[in-house]
Amino acid sequence: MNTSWKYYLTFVITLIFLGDSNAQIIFDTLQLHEFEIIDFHFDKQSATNTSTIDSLQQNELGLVDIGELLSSFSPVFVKSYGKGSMATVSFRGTGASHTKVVWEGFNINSPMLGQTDFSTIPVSLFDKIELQYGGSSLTEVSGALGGSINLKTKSGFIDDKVISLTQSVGSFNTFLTAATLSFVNKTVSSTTNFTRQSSLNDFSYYNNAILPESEYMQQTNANFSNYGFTQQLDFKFNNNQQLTFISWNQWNNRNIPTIMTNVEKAGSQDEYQNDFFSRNIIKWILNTTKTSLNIRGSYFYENLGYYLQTKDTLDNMITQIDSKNKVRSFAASADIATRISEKAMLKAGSRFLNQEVESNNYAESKTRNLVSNYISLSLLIGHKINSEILIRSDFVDGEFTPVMPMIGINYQPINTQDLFFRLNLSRNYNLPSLNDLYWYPGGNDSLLPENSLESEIGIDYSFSIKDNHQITFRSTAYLSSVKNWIIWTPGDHRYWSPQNVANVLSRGLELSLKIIGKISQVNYYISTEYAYTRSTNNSQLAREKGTSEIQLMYVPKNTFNTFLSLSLSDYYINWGLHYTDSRNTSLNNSENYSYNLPSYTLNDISIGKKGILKKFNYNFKFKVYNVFNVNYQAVLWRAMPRRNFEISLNINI
Amino acid sequence: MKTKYIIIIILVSFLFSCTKNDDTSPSSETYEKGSLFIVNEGNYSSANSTLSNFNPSKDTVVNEIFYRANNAPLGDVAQSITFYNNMAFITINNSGHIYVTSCKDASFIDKIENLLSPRNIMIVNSRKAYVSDLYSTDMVVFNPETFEKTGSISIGKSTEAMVKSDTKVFVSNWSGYNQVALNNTVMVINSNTDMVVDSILVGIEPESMVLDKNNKLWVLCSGGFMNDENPSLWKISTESHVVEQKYTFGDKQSNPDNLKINGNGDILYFLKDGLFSMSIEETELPTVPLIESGSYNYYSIGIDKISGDIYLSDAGNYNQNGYVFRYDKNGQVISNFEAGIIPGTMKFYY
Repeated sequence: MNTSWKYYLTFVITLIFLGDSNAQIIFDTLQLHEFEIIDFHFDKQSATNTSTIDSLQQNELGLVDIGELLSSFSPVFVKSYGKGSMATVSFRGTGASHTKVVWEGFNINSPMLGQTDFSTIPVSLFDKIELQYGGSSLTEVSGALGGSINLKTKSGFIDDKVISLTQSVGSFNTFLTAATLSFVNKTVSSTTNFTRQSSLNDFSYYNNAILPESEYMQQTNANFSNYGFTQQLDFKFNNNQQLTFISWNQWNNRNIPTIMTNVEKAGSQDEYQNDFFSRNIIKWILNTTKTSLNIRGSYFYENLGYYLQTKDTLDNMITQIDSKNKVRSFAASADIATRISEKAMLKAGSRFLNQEVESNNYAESKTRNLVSNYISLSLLIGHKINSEILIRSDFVDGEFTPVMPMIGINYQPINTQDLFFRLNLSRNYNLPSLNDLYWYPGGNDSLLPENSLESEIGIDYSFSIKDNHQITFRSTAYLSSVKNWIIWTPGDHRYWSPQNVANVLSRGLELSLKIIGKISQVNYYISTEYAYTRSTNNSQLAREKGTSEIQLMYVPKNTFNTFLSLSLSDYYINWGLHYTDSRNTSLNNSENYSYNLPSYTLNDISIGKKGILKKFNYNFKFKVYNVFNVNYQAVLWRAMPRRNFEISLNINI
Repeated sequence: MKTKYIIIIILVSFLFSCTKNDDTSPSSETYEKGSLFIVNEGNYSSANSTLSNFNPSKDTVVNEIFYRANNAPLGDVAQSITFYNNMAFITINNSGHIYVTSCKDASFIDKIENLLSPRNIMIVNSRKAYVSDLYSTDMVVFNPETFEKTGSISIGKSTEAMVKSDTKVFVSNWSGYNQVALNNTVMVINSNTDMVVDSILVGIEPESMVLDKNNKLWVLCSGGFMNDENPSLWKISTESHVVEQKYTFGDKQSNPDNLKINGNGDILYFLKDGLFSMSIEETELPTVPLIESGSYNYYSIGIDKISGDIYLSDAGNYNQNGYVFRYDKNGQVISNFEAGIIPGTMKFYY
């Protein structure tokens, strides 16, 4: 153990700090955010790097959006413009469009933007959230150069839950309602989820962007309301065959507040975004003893509206932007998995996707057709090695992208110990978004796909002490290079245009420690995540301009989360701490606030009681966000709330 | 297990002891007469404008001087700088205010707020200054000594560049954005009465103006955002408001801007990719640039009216600090230095 540890550490440290002599891993400030809710476990024997967020307490899940959940629970970086405002997620120093969100096998990233707004994904609608890091994502989707987030819903036949209702009330007139209603008999099950969230969001914040004196101000024009439902119907024909229909419909309405430096401007500004989406899936699953066949079809519709209007003091119109965008996507897929021997599993699949965008920001409506195929072989070699080899290839609008291979190996050196070494190597391609190609003006239809080479090694170790304390340690070191990274740059004309200019090298370390156990009558759970990320642009141009050593914008070098949960009898207390390191907002080395956002540490604490009253299971919780009243910004000059409160009650019948 | 708890407690207490202190004490650098102030616009909606100062005699630059002095940002898209009585008046376009700062140490003195989209300032006299505005059809008038707004002038159009000649202020109507009125005029204001007394028809988008040694007004028109017409340069009598000469650029796709003049008032400069210069006596537009743009993204011009040195800013990729190149009057490079993001207006404080 000790020897392999030393080798491992030496390798990791060499890998990470190669070419970065100034870097230091310093836990100089830790921090935690929130998550009460969930347990995070690893598929420890998997040949790919996958981790899963389960619900520790299923009923509490509905109280956060996925962006908040991930920032508390995983090493990914969540860039949030404020509660209810846009939130994007990036893995390992890559961009927001390199994180693919997969729902029931279909990518739900906006075809226009290439990215996903995580503030529009309520946790309560899903049963399982899975993170696949780097090349491991190729098992689900191509183009996830950073990683993928897979949202899963369980079959209606698993659960016999009938009615669940959650209501929370929080500061700034924030209300959240989540309800689940399910029926099941031997052949049919129906599950309906409903969620509604609204907030006036008029919190007070410290405005340090104005002179002569910084002062506390009240946020305006930041209110939002979202509501939506999912309906799932499962039909069981026999023990081997099931047909499922899922429809997810949601309306998101939000106002967009101005930035902190512009609060003293004359006239009036009205800026808002109203979206609607409907995502529908039908799938048929056939299982035999050796083979599983999965055939799916989907129809997604999105209507995205952005409106900006500024008026002068006499109420005359100055600026008006009324952006209207409609996206329709059809997809059909077939996946087969078959066990060809005791130790070998073959998987293959094919997917066809048609996307159509109608936008007043494009010269004309645009379509994209994509066929994506993969084949993979999982092999157990001896008793110690589990491996997976996968090849994926995309065929886009009549052209093949080069093949995307992935190889993952998991090695267990000692049979009696839960100690695993992982290795993963892959190549991946990410297609330009439709905005990159067709935005008017500036879109560049000759863009090439972004192309990455990724490698990672990891070590996982689980052990228990006196059967009372279960400890899981996981660490991963990665190195990846993305060529032809797309950046919008000023062109010869007066508008910006995307180009394949950057060559990004990212390397880093992810550490995770979970301890669960019991001391006397107290159950405890501790979960800690640390990530060190170094991401730079090593292109010839960046070297000439002297920016090749500068960390990419909005990539913190260090992030740290800790969650501690203690429970005694029916009572519990949860404490979350979340630390985010300083972030560059430009490609300069400067301590100027505008260029370099300071680090921050947030603490959230909740106490609650859960139990059974007559036939009801209840969970009552009181939660304090940002306990220490920290003034912070996640995105430059976007105000964030200070200490605030929430009370929630969940009832299960 | 006890050890683990101890470690956790140590880690956690470590957290609270190590939070960064963001308050840095303001610096007390001073900036001399004869130095160049550079207004770095920053990115729209990012509020990362900065102010730089370059000392030509020492060949030294100090960046972020406003932030250093005041521990607060300049704001969202700083547009222009105007000196008066050892004070600098800086318009912050998208923040809707003007910051008044000391030229000596860049410290904050006062502000004029609640403006729509301020662009440039013309100090008329000790009681009166005009503010041009991209979106307002009025120009705000304020007192440059008390910093109080004293009135407004109804123009009916967007306003941009201003030039003063005796009791007349010439105002160009550059932008046609979201307005019915045409953007091809220069308005004449009587600075005693604050009334519009005349308007002069020029080309589309009169972007910049200067006054030469013969008291002639020169107006550079970029031809329109969508390249509506050929760009043009106009020479106008400030007495009669009659157009004395019109020069038309051959290339409709080009967008010349940044008209400047030397200290003697007899050589014009403008940007059209590279830097062009022409004598005010010239009858034709120059065809060969004095300074080629090469791989640079030239963005604005500053002229040292005493030495004749020419300063050109390079906005680079707009996401990192730009550079300023210093040339002598013959276009020979002297030195260069790093400024802020998108170095825009460059003016000497004499």
